[in-house]
Amino acid sequence: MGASKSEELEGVVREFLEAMGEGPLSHPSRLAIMLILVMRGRTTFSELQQILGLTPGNLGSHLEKLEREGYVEKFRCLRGLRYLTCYRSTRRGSLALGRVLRSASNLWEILGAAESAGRAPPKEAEGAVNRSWGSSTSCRRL
Amino acid sequence: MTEGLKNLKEIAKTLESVRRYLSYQRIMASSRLYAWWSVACLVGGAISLTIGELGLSPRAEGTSILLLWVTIGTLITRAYFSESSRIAELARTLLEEKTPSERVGLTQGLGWAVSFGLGCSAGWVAARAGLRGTGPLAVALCLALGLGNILTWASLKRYFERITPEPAVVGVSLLASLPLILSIKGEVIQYLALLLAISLTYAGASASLAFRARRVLLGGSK
Repeated sequence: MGASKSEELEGVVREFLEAMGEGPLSHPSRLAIMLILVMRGRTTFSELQQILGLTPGNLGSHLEKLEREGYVEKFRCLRGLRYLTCYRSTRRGSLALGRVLRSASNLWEILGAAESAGRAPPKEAEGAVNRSWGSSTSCRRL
Repeated sequence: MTEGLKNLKEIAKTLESVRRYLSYQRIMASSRLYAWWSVACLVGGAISLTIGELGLSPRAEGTSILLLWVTIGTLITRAYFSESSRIAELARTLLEEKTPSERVGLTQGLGWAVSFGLGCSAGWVAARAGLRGTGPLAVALCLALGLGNILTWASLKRYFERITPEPAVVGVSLLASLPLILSIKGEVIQYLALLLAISLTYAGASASLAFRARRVLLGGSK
């Protein structure tokens, strides 16, 4: 395997770690909130709380951070006969999540191919993770 | 394998599953859109034929059929906007950032407007040329829906690498079925043939998209 392949792999790992590590999506709870909002569309505060099992204070602070960054927007929505607080992903939030998902897909293409062929991941992957570990803010969370 | 790589692999695998699920939802939304049109065509056709058999005065019959299609059109338009806003929302997450989604939407809207304009004009010309019964309606609908679907496919082809062929297949099928429909004698049978052609073509596209979505979800294709 040549140096270019190794560099390419390192680039994919680095891209993924950077997409995960930059901005509000570096926290697993906030990443989960964004995934739920994109998968379900508009979601109420209590639905989010039920799905994620977070305390109202904890969920509220994560949503506040996402709202401040322009990733989600809060609005009043009619559910049954009551007006509730709903959240939905903004264009900026969807694009940021898209970056994470695309980089994960690129990474899985390499690691998953090795797994389905019953091989260990390429040696370069291990090296790339080790080299990228220190340079990405998300590494401590993984 | 180090712990870091193992964790990274697990996260990448989970996120790839999420991406596949979102792709599935996006394709299923398109499939539902075609299904709505297919069902509306069948139900509307059946009710309008029943109205025709009630023996109402021509004025009452015309008004009832017009009201029926306006109601169906309103319901379908509402479903269309709900599904297409979901498709656009999912596309923002799934497609490349540089995709000019506004321009894609505008091109498609323009394509549909041109197709309906051409379809209606062709229907009018067909009526003036002496085509009677369902003929002008068949010319207008087949041309409008056929060209609209082909132009939608062409505009998607221009902006995206991987696109589904269903709109093009629907468009070509509708255009190809026009001579067949026009060759049928008898107004009611011709009307039925027109509705069945549209409904079956759209149902086929809906089923094909649903299978495609299932393949994406199960990991067969991206």
